[in-house]
Amino acid sequence: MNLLKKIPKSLRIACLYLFPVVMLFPLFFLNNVYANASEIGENLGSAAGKTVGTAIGSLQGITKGNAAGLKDGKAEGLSAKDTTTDIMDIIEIGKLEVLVATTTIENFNSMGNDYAALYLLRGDVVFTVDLLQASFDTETDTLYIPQPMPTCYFDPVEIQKIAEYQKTFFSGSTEDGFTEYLNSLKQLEISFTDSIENYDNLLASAQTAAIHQVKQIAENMSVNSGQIHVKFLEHTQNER
Amino acid sequence: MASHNRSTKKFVIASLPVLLGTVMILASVNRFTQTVSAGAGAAQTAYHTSKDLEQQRIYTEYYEKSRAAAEKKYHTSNRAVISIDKVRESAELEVLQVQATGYSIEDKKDNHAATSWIKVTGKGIFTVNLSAGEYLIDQERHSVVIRIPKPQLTHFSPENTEKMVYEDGALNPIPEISFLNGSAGKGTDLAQRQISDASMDAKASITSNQRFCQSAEVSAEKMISNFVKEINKDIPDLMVTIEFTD
Repeated sequence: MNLLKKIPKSLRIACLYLFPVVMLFPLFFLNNVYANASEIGENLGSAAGKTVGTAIGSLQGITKGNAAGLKDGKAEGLSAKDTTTDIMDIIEIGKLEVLVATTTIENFNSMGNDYAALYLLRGDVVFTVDLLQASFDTETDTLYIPQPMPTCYFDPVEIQKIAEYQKTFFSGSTEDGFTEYLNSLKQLEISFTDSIENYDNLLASAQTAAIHQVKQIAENMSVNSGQIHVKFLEHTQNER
Repeated sequence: MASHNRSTKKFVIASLPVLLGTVMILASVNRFTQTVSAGAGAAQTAYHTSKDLEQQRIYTEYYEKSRAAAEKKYHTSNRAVISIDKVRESAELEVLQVQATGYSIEDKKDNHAATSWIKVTGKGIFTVNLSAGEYLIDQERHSVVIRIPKPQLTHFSPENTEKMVYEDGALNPIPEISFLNGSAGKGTDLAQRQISDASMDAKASITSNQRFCQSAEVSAEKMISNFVKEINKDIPDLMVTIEFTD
């Protein structure tokens, strides 16, 4: 107390008034920090609400929801909504087969490093001319036909497994092998058709055969028994 | 009275800063609490965001690593060589395309490999051989009579194979433990046999269906007649007759 009295009165009063002034600084600082408090508070509330909601929801889900869902799901499942019916198409066509190439395909099939097999497949490549698109010019006795198009036929009955390698007796699983075979056959058909479509020599033979065969048939069917010329249409829309 | 006023003045001068200071402290404490609360909220949000991102990143890392390893282990390749054995000209007219399905059902009790049901859907093509036909032309009566063999199913091509039911034949199959799951060789044998059987079943369903044969005859008659009329379109009263021989 005596020590306090030694301080001049004016200084004591100044110190006393300095106290609230000093306290203004942390308040201003906290106000600045608090500027985004509402947004942060929303996040906090959302997170807390989610947690509480999850807890309550889980409890209700376990006690009531499971049973209700099971009942409704069973009814839905047994409703037989997943029913499809396919119409087996019957389509009238009028395509003349002009060239047939019998092929042998040797396929080396492998699955990783554990399994490999060599297959021998037989397939026919049939080139056809769509006579529904043919048109006859009576003035020049010329029959215009579309370009021959190839179709590939595999007979799965004739596929032979020539050789097989398995790293161990139990390499892979039956299901792996089963799935691998189905997928390989599908991919092989696609690849085979692509290769044939780009094989120009065979296409050239098919064009020659088309002209020859169509001419012969048309002349057989012509009442005027004159010579018939056969030419390819310039723009043909072939579809298989 | 003057002394009382002085003491009151002194009291006010002394207590005013104390009061102001106290208000500042209370306000600061209040702000501090609110700030800590807001900060905790932000931290929590950041925690969840970064946790989710990191969780996804780690999951993706493991997924990609496993996927690449599995792809390498099961990488299926086919290296095919096509040889053209024989090329011949043909004069078969395709007249009808039909779709058919065939099934193959095998049970693990019988084959000791797997219970497997597959469905093969394919298309069959009926053709008539025009080169084996007999063409009778009557120029005076404007008549064309064509005698050709009956349409035959000459091609069948499986277009889609569907695995309907599949269950490995092992007593207690455990994924990734291959010695309980048979072998890849057994699987390819089973698939080969079933596709073959289902294709034969589909083909048989076409040949045994009399309606398809009749439709093929109707279509052949129509296609050939139209073609003959196109070739002879300068003869409007042309009579075309198609006869099928056995």
